[in-house]
Amino acid sequence: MTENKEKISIGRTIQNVGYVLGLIARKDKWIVISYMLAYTVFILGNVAYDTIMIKRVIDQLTDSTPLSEILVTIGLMFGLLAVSIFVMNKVENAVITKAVGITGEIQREFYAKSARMDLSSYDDPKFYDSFVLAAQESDTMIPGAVENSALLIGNAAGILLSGGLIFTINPIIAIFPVAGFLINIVTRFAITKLENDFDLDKKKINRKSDYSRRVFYQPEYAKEIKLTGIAKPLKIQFEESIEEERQAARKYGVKIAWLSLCNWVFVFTFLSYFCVPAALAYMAIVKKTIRLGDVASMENAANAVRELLDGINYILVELQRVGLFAERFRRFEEAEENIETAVGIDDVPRHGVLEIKNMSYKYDGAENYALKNINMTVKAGEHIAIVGENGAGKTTLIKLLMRLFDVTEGEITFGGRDIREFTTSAYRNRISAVFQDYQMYATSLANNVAMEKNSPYTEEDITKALGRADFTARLGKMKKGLETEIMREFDEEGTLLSGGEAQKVAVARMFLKNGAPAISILDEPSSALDPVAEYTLNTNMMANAGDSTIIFISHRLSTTRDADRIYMFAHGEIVEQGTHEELMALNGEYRNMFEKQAHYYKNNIEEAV
Amino acid sequence: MIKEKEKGKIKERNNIMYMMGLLWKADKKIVIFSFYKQIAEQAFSVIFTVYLTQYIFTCIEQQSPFEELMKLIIALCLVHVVVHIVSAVWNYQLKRRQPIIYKHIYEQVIEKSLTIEYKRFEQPDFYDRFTRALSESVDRGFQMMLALVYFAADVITAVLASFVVVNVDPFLLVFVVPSVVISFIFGKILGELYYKLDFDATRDNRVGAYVKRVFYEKKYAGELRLFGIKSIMLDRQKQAYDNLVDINRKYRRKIAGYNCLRWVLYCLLSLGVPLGYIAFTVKTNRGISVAPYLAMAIAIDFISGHISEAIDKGIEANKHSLYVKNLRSFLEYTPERSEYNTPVPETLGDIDIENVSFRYEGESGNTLNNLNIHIKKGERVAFVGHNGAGKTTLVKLIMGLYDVSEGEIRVSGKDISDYAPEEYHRHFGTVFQDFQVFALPLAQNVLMKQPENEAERQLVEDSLIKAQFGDKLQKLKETHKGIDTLLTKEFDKEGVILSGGETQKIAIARVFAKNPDIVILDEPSSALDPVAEFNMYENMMKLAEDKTVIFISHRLSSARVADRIYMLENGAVIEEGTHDSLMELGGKYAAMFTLQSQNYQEN
Repeated sequence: MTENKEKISIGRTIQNVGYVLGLIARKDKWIVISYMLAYTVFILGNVAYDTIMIKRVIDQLTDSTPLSEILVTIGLMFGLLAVSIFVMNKVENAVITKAVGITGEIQREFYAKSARMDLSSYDDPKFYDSFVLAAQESDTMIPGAVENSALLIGNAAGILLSGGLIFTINPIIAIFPVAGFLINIVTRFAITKLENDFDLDKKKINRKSDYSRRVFYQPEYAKEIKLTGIAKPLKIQFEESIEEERQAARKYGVKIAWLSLCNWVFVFTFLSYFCVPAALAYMAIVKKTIRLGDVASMENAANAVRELLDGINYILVELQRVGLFAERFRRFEEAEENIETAVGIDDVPRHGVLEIKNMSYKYDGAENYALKNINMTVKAGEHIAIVGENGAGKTTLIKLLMRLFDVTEGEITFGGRDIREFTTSAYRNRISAVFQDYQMYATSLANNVAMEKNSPYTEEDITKALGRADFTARLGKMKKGLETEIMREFDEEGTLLSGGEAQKVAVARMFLKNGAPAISILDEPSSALDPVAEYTLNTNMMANAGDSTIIFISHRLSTTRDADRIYMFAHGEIVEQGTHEELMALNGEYRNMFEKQAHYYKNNIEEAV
Repeated sequence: MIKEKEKGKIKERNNIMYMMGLLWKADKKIVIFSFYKQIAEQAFSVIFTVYLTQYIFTCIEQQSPFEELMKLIIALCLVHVVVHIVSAVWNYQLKRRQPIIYKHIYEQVIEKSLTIEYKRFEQPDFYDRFTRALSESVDRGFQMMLALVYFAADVITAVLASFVVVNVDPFLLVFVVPSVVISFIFGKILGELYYKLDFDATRDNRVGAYVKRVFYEKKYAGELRLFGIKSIMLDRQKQAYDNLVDINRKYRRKIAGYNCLRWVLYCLLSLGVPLGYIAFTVKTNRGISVAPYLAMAIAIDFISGHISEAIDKGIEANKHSLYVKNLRSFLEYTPERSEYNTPVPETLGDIDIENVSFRYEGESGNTLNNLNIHIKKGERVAFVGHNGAGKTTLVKLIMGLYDVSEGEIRVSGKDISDYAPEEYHRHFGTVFQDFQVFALPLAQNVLMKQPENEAERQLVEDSLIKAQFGDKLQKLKETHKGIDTLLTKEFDKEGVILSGGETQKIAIARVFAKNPDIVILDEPSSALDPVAEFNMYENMMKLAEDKTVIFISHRLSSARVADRIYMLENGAVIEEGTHDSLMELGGKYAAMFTLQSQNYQEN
């Protein structure tokens, strides 16, 4: 992973943080400003208490001020603190609450945008990694931008106040915290960098150790762990990664320890604990230029400056992370939206010839073509089968037909027009598809079939579609029927479907549209089904196809036999095409494949071989 | 009620002791060192913040010689440097030793997991309690120790500082009391509020995380673009975040209120009142030295701060210890049975399934009902039937992954529940529907151990070729490291991700490599293309000449080669016999076969 390795300039970081704050401010103008003000009040209150007020009390204690006046001062001090505490707590909690809602809103826009990106951008690992990271970090980074920019302003105000105080009494004392800050910035940044590098190394190593131990108590691995000897190599791998982590700890740990030691000795021991008290005592005892009250308030002021500056160091590190997050986030502004939002001809014909002309496709960054020089003509209402070995390029073809990718060379036309001329959504509305890697979603069964909000289909339609996909018996066992929550993600009562059941739900999505789309595409729709379910599915598919075109991929050649035309794919090319009879007569690859599969189904095995 | 509460508390404390025991056994030195370092560091802060301040103030007030003061400051600074050195060494040691502690604990977890019965892994709460929670449990245990370290150091610091205060005016210690009370009360209230906030937000946070995954995981990308599912997902997210805002609003108002009250009271009682007392004392006692009292105002703030810190840390340690519960119950789990007296024979013989019924824990009906099946050594048996007929459950029973609810399964004439599972499992070669590949080199994924010599490496290659993986292996030799190629990208970019069909071939290669007595194949060919499937079966049958083979397949063509076919429906055998006899019978099997084969017949 490329995590955090990327560097961006300071200017860009500031711009990026500003960008995130801008996003937030667009949702709610006040949250950034109110938090800044509240935090500033809080810091100023505390600093004023520690310096001005303490000095005043001590002065009053050491001179002849009457007790009642001192008590008034103490009361004022307390009031000051109480107000700053009150303001801070009220505003902070209100801001956190609002920030949750705003984060959700920004995320939704981000997700919506991500679904408009071209699918091919997922294949660019760098882009994809930063996409995932931006999504993952958004929950902490968006509130983090508000919080840290407020802290930065508040701390700066605090430094100005305490620094100003020091200057009014004796500017020399100011040298120490400022020197401390400079040393701190140099060493702290070096330490942070080392720690980040260590973290990165550790993360990488930990992925290995986490994995190697996790499999031992993850249910899906339990069978293999128990039935085979795999536990041993996994244990060895776990131990290796622990040793690797210790090596990394040595590599970075020594440097970090030395740097920390230097930092502590200079910043704390020398500048804070030695120089400041010594200088103050010198002025008070030898020079007699300052009084006891000055000593206490100056010491407090010097400490405040040091602590606030130290705080700023951490804040800057955090803001750097926010900047990096924003950089990834902003990359989506530039993400390509060639396909998903393409606008063109909206009127896609209901019937039309689907034609693939001299088409080739290469995945971004791949060396070889996934598909080479494909030519196919599919007339309206035809049933087309695509067969071939695993990895022959069949699924890629389906994705190109759906315009999830655009062809590299050649063209795909529908009704005489290049499919790129249509509005993408209008074109896709003409197609319904069942993918090989169909997914179930953690929502109701009805939603898993209808797959859209406010779908035009009634419960009856959905029940019927599920029936055609041979799901009726299972539906009968569900207490809440169509409203049953699928998956246990958020509902303990949720239903987990087996592979075969899930496949039926996926197929029902196609049945729901009931022949309305011009083309139905099915990628191995029955791989997890038992023979009877498979038969039911095929029969229903043919019975309900109406006049729509069907294109399906299958490894079970019995299901493809009745197709109007069969295309046999091998290594990204069409090697044979024709009807079942034609291909059998050709006596080539298809026949070989069919006979192998038919072998044990023949009435008489001996004859068949 | 009260008693129960107390019991709960005792348990929490026990969890703390339990975790400390684990850490102690893992690495005594780092435990001692952690306490030592923190206490030394904080004790020193007492000298600096409390004692030295008082000393300097007094020197200034009494105009003592500057040199004396300097000597003390220099001496203290030198000691301070030593304290820093200790801290730096600790920092380094912690980085080096933390992995050892983790290793020690996880090794126990791994050993324990190997003894836990398979059925436990399938229980839904197992996943919730352990899989998801175990890593967190260990991390929390470690943080618990650090919280305890801070707690101890804070307490000791407060006590040490109190001695200084008592020296000046014992009455001043009274002002420490409010901070203890305030921290206790508010720490508890706020802790509960934060806990409730987290608890109430759990579900909605999960929804948020789920929707997020749907939008960034590649597997959803296609459907997101083709269907309108994204609108449903965005709705769910909006609902979840609206709830989160409500939950936050509800608790944060209270949190803000209590927090305010806590710190205002703290300021009043630990800062304002002591200052007032000091002012009163100084102003009403003529000639009293002001400096020590001023220093004491700072000292009381210091002590109160450490006490509230200590209480917070104590509460934190308790909170962490709650999570330790999962780790503890995992490590303290005792399997129902751990002694097995019957030795497993050299080679496994006949399998007798007698009146076997099986019911999953918590289910109302039997999954298998009164089964009687006899499988002779060397026989090839097929279990066929609809999805959900109980076929997979049956093979899991035969392998001893579950215990029968009624009846008995005997292998080589002995009840299999008396065989030690590890020994018994050694005789099986299996390919399951949901087989897994491991993020290990290809060779280890086939051999299921590290190949030790050239012969074993050759065995891996041969097995892969027999499993129809030969072409891919050739490619891997050219582009990667052949059988040493790391599988999956789980933790290495160089790893190779194989397709569904290819991984299935690896699972099959395992059986070829293992050469077991009994081969069990649960839909081994569902992801294979016809040619690969045909060749795989041919090879499997060759390998299995003298072996018992039990297979489940939806492609009845493969059932046909079985010596005996069992047709299961609703957990019972409804038909059995050879392919021919079942076809002759004209029952459900015949119907199913005809359905599937009609398209393969020559017209």
